[in-house]
Amino acid sequence: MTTTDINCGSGPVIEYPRILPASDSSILIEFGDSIDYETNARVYALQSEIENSDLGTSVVEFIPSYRSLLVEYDVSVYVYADLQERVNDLIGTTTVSGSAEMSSEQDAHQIPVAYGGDYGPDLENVAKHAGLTREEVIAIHSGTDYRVFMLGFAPGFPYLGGMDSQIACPRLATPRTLVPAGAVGIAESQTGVYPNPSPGGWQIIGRTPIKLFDVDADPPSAMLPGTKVTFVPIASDDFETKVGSE
Amino acid sequence: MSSFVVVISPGNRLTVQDLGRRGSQRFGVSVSGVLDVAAAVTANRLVGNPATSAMLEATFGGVSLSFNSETRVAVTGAEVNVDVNGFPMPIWETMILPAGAVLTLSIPSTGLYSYISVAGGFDTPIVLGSRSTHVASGIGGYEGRILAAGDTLPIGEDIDGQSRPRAGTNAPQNVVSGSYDRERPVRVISAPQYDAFDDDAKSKFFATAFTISNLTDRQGARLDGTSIPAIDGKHDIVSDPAYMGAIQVPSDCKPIVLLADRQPTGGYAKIASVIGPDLPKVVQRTPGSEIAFELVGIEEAQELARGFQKSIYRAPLVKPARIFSSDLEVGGKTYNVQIVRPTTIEEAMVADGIIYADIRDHAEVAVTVEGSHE
Repeated sequence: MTTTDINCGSGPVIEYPRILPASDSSILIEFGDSIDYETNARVYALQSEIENSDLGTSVVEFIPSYRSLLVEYDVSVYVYADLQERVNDLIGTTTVSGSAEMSSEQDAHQIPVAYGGDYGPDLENVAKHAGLTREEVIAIHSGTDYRVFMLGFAPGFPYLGGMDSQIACPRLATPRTLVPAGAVGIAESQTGVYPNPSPGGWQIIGRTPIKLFDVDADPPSAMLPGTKVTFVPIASDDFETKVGSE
Repeated sequence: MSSFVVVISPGNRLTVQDLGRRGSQRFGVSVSGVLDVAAAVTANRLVGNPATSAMLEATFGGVSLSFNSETRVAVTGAEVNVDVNGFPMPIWETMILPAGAVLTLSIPSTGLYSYISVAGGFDTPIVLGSRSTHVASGIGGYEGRILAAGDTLPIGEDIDGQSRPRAGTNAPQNVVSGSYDRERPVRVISAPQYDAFDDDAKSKFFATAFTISNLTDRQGARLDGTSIPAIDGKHDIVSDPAYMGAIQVPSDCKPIVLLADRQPTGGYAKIASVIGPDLPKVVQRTPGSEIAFELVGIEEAQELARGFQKSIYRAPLVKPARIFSSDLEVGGKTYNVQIVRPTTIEEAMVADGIIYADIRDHAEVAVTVEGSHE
């Protein structure tokens, strides 16, 4: 199974999937250079294929991303050329569900969100920018299944794919010095949630009472890479109740 | 009695580290961990710990610690002057510090990072499988932060003290000298976006020496010097996995070698990757010093990596030379006392089965006692 992407401009032409050494102890498998469901699904399909094969035991760590998978491995067990061959074989036998099936085969993980007011001070900005009412923005944002393409930047920080471009909105001109944990934001055509308090320039439209990242939990992240999530509107009163119970 | 260390002075930046937090990068958690693996693994070996035990990493020395009970200790890494209770002591060597000892590290003459290991390891909580401190996210180590004066660190139980290396045991010479050779360029393999740079940029990258910037930290070594432009200015890529030793080049065209505190993913083109065996050379180079790169193939890189692993984990430690050996009568018993460095014994006493010798020009720590014969 081979797909080919052609780069525009004078950059190098790359055929995908491409397997290459990243360092002396890691191998990188690239499935493309775009952000889309299909490419991302192949990343997670290959990760699970490797985990379940005899290669699994010599893997030190996986880093899945939008369009590629890094596998760090024990150099005392595998030389690169052998591993490359094995991975290439696994790519050939890995079955990937199409994007349409993907959305039906798996229930979305539900993240409760209190939209607007003190929890979402920028909901009004986003609504104005989109020419919609606040209620319409909430309906669109919570009416979509998102895919966790990857986690990165900070512990538990999800890069979500699938936001409706109607509610896309530029970042704040001046970033806030402190965004609270659980803040749900929009930046251009992306949406995401801050797992921990941090400075941030995203338009904050709501907040979830769920603890998204907890080092004592297993797994530590409430949003798992490669899975689906959806946001469920809750009343402000429920936010306080849920914070108490989580 | 439980053993602990009190931080008298943390120096520039003192943190608890082990070999890093593995397996959680997929959740956005940084690996962190020691920067100089060769020095860190050796420090653990010198006190008889498994390689995974937690130790202290000091940035640019200046550290002072006190020990409440007798503790086997080793200092490795940057070239610092170490003293114990005012007596000069060597680095890369097993020491046994008496209870109440104060260990002090000077500012290094060469290098940047020092490792201080204790038999039993530092027993701070394990977070996601590791004791390493990642300060930016407040995870691990001592309350997720840099150590401060007055902090008290518990030491794990030293259950097999007798079988651990004796005082005066030395690190393998090839680990000490091999890791810090400054003459040779740092070896790299090509990285995934190598071809995002044209031949001109590539030849500039390998032809010139860069200078380590003052902005260098545990997240990355930043390099000043020749600009390395990507083709069509395409320095930004779709966020991709990041890893130790990756050399990324952002749009300011200045390369950054990613180190232990890096984020798991990054959006800049990577031109090359430093091979594992040469990472200690990169991290121990102080801001202002020069660094040059040389390209090797993946096969050679892996062969070097395997040799490096073997050398740091398995090269034999050097047993203490017995330069003074004498039978000493204390409290009606005769002990054979061995001194591992030139010195003379003034007097000795026995307490709890241990001989405490007051040694001229030296600390008590260099004494090795082998059995008693009546």
